[in-house]
Amino acid sequence: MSNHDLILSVPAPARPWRQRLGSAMPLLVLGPSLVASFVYVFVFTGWTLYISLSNSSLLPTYGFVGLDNYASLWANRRWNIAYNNLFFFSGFYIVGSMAVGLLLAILIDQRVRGEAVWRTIFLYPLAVSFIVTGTVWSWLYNPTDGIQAMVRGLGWTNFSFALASDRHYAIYAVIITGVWQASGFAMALFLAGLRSVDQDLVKAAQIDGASTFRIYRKVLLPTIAPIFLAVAVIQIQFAIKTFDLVAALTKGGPGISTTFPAIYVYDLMFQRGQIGEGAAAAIMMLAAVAVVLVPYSFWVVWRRRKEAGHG
Amino acid sequence: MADVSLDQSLDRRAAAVASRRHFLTRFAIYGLLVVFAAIYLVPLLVVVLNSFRDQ
Repeated sequence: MSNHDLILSVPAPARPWRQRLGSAMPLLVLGPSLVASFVYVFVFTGWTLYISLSNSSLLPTYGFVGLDNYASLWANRRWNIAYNNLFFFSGFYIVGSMAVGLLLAILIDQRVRGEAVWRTIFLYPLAVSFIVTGTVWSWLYNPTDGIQAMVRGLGWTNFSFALASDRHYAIYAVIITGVWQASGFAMALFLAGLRSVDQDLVKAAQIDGASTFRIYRKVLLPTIAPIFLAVAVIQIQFAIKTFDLVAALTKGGPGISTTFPAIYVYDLMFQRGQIGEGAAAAIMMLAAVAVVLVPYSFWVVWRRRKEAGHG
Repeated sequence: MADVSLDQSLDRRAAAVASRRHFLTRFAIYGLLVVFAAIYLVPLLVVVLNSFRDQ
């Protein structure tokens, strides 16, 4: 037996238990949270999916009925109105909040005085809960006590601003309120992006004689293009889960003109006692979120791999 | 000599135009910020005033 064989045959000394505990410590600390997250997200989602395929009404029952709840859901006029409202609201909400947020970010980026004050003013709505926002804006939209009454009291007797009371325009009241709340968030992200752009690019463009508008259009905005996508994805999630804003502002009305999927889920589950169909509606909302998040996640991973390959 | 004074007057005129454009640009920026700030602060003002109302 050679010395080399002797060296190879000697077993490695056992690690002391303290060292083993130290290496396992992150898993021990994070373990309960991971288990709880797994249960509350995946297990309960699976349970909701099963309930959506059952004949549950007031209480959960586990008789399998296939896709009957989904068929009943999509045959319901109110659900179709809610889903259409979701698309309509989401489109204007995302475009509106990004446009206003981008404009505010560009204005603040112009080296204005009191920048911290302006940022605080435009960001504070994000700290306010949707219930408070909806309640306050319902006061503002009130035709007898709100903006309409105030402007008419100043002399403009033909002025009309009772959006929330008109079933044709109530959805725009929800959109305006949502944009008011969310554009500060978009502004913060866009401002951070504009400030992170390499100033050498801007100086080079200025030396070449480019105007400020052209610098923004050709240099700055293309550089922060990934932020547009990130803001859009986050805003879409907020839009799909809209419940408390509508509940406080219009309660889904007038009539059912501003009903949303989340409002309909709440109505089915807690007021009508149809938890099977309510679970089906909740799964439809999850599908809407997944359609946005899953491709975005794949795109982020693909982009990181591409950058790692180039770097 | 006449060319030098002409150049100086053209430079002064260009500087005045640039200064006026700069002033108008800053006025527009701050004006827009004030308008948006008013829109964002009106609901807060309503909440504060309502909190002092006698129920």
